[in-house]
Amino acid sequence: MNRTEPASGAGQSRSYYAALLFAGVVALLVPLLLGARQFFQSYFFGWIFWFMLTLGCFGLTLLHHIVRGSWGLVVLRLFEAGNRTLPFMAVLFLPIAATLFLPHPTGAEYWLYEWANPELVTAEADPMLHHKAPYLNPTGWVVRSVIYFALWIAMAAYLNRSSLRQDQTGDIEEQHKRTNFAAPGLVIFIISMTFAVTDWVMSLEPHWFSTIYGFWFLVGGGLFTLAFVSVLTMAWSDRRPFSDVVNPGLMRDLGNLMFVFTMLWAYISLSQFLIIWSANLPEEVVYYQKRLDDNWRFLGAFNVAFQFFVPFLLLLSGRTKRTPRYLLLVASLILLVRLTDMVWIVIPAFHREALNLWTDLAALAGMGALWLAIFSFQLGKYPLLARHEPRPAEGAQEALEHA
Amino acid sequence: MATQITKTNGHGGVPGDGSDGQPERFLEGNHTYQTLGDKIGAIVLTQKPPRVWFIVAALAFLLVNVLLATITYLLFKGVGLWGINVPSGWGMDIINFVWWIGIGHAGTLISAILLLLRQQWRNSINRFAEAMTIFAVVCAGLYPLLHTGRPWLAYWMFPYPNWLALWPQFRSPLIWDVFAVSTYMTVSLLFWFIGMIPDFATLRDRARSRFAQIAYGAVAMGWNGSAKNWHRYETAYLILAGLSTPLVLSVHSIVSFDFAVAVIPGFHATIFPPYFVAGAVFAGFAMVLTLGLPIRHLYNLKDLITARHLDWMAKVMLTTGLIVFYGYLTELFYGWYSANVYEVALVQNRLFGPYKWVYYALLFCNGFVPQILWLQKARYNIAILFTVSMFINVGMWLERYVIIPVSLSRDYLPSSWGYYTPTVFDWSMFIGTMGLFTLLMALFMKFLPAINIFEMKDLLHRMTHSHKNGHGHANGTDGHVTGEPLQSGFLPEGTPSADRNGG
Repeated sequence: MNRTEPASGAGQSRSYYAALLFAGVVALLVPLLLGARQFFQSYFFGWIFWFMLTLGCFGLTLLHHIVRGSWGLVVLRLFEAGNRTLPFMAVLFLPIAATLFLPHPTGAEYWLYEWANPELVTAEADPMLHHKAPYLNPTGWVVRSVIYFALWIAMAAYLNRSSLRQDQTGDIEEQHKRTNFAAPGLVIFIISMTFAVTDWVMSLEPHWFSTIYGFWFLVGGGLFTLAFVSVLTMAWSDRRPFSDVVNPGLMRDLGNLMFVFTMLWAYISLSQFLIIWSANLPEEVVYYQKRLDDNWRFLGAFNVAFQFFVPFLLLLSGRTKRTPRYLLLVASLILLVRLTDMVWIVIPAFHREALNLWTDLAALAGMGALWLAIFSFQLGKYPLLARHEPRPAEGAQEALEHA
Repeated sequence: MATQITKTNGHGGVPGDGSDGQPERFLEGNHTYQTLGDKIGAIVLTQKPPRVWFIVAALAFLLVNVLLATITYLLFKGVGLWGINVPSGWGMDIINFVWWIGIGHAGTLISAILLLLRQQWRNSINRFAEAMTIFAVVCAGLYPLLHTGRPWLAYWMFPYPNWLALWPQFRSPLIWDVFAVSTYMTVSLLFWFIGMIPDFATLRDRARSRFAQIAYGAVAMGWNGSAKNWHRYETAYLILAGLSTPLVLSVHSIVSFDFAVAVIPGFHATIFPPYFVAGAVFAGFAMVLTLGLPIRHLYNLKDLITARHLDWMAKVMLTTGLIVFYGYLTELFYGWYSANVYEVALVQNRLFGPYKWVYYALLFCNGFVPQILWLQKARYNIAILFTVSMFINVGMWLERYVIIPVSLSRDYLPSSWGYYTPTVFDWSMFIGTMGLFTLLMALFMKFLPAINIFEMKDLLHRMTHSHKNGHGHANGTDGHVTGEPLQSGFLPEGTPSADRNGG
């Protein structure tokens, strides 16, 4: 049974967006009940969680323009709408940057980043932070953040415009231009993203480091995005235009991609853990010590079970990948575990006395409402399916020819 | 009627790269099933090897004797013959082990992962790359075996019940290596052998001499080309591909753990597993090109190993090379960022220490030279490709040199620092394994079908049947080829037709 109403937020009323934005802002302010420091911590968590989806969309857009697989074409417009959240996420980043320059909070020496307090980075107070100060200092951090955002926004805008132009003019030359652009673009993206997560997330615990960190976030963001677009396409599989293009081939591709990224996530997580745990060096092992203490260990075990074993086993089965409802369930599970995994990575870095997780979840929901409002507004601006052709050698464009 | 593959004018100046709306072409020239069987079969059955083959084989045989002499002397004198000594307990033996193991990875990647990804361009190079894998693992395996000092007791590393109450230390990655490498060897060997069975049958049927008929007949395992044979073959092949896929990641990840779980600066880095795997694929593809380009030229295989194949291989090299380069950069940056005095000292040691020339040569070979592959012209230029692949072969060896002796010779206490210098026996052993590898490859070229005959026929079948402008069925003299559309349901190579094995 095909429902006739079209998918997406296209044609949503203005009050719909207003309600979402209002709810988002209110939820974001909830953590203020526990003080300004709690607010910034929760705000940062909500922001970085949703920003990984933005970055995942952008990374997979680049990847799609290089390999031009048929699966990517179906979800390209979803990625592109995700890319267009970049400037908004940059604006929402401002409060985080502001913490570097605000006067100290009462009762604590810093807001988010220990190294932002000049008193804590002197050679006497902390020789390690002093050593890192040429890199980890407020000015450098802000300059670098501006560069990351400028690079990503410019690159995404170029690709998005070219893709839309090709739909209008049908000029196949655009496709080659995008491929030639995206290949070095992906290199730039991976390097800039590595530094960005080092600056924003790793430096929450400024004494600790891990060289695989960039890949860890890259794979986590990719998995998050694949699960997100799988949820959308499966949920809309009976609505136009997705009802015309969601076929067993696409579902198998999406399922297999989530499968591969699930395994990559496990591979990288395990590698990092094993290497640090085995070597047992005090300056490195603190990271896991914190996350295996108290109640965090249960969340860690949950992540191992539900970010790896359960989706791995479910996605092994061909049946999961043939039934839209099952694929939707697995993808939703992955979304949930992406959340718990990010909680496990980010929140223990804050050295809190009490586990005020509810404020983090409120900020997460608030940021999510803003993100989804922007995303669905952007999604409604253009037709939901791109009309370019995938590589002819794939021979899998039947799906689109039927459309 | 010979089926002709239409020549098309490429959109981007390269014919058949898919940009012109035609399927990408991985088979050139006017081939029929008959000519494919003839061309590849003849290399083994009738064609006298080119003169170069004899020269190469003789030279390689000489080097094998150097290897044997070195090993004999080594067993007589002990591993002190090598340049390894405190603080550098590992030297060229482990460098070469990792180098050879890495080279093998292209074979597994091409055979297993590209099969599962339904990449048709793997078809003409997979057999050859798989052989390379096995011979490289043979060369690699020699080193840790001899490094034990008493190779006749190497079986102690396996967990078997014994009255010595001897049990392996399962927390040591060196023990994981034993299992990883032996599993890798076993699965690769099975994969290679099973993949050759249909071609052995073709050779058996085409062979004129009694000896060849019996020899190929024995290894063809009674293959008769029935639909049942093909069905079982495809199933077995797919299962082995599934088993091999994790091996591409696991073997070199575990090799990287040999270093990474230790606490030596330069060994201990969390980036190691993915960076080693990428490096292995990088090195493997470089070696495929190093050997493949001369063979392609000598045996005139330009129709089968097309420019498109070379282009793809170059792209894989470029991609994996960039990951490796990313690894070097992260090691440098986080080495400084760590603010750990030993990590910082390691960065200084690499950049300005006594081995700095090795490090700069490494950056040049693996970091800068491969960047030329961004240019399409370079990817289609044989001389450039060959040169780049040689640089990568050297670069990947230097990479392990930077990791092993450079880190070990200066670890913590300056009073314990040293300097590692390989001895003449390190070199004779290394050159000897190159001889062994080359000799095995030469014998492989002479006696086994170096290019997959039936998969090339399958490729031809697909190409002729995917043409919409009505070239019709391909009727070679091998007999009628059933023309049902190949629905690749769960079999990536499609359901084989009953009489695909011609001859």
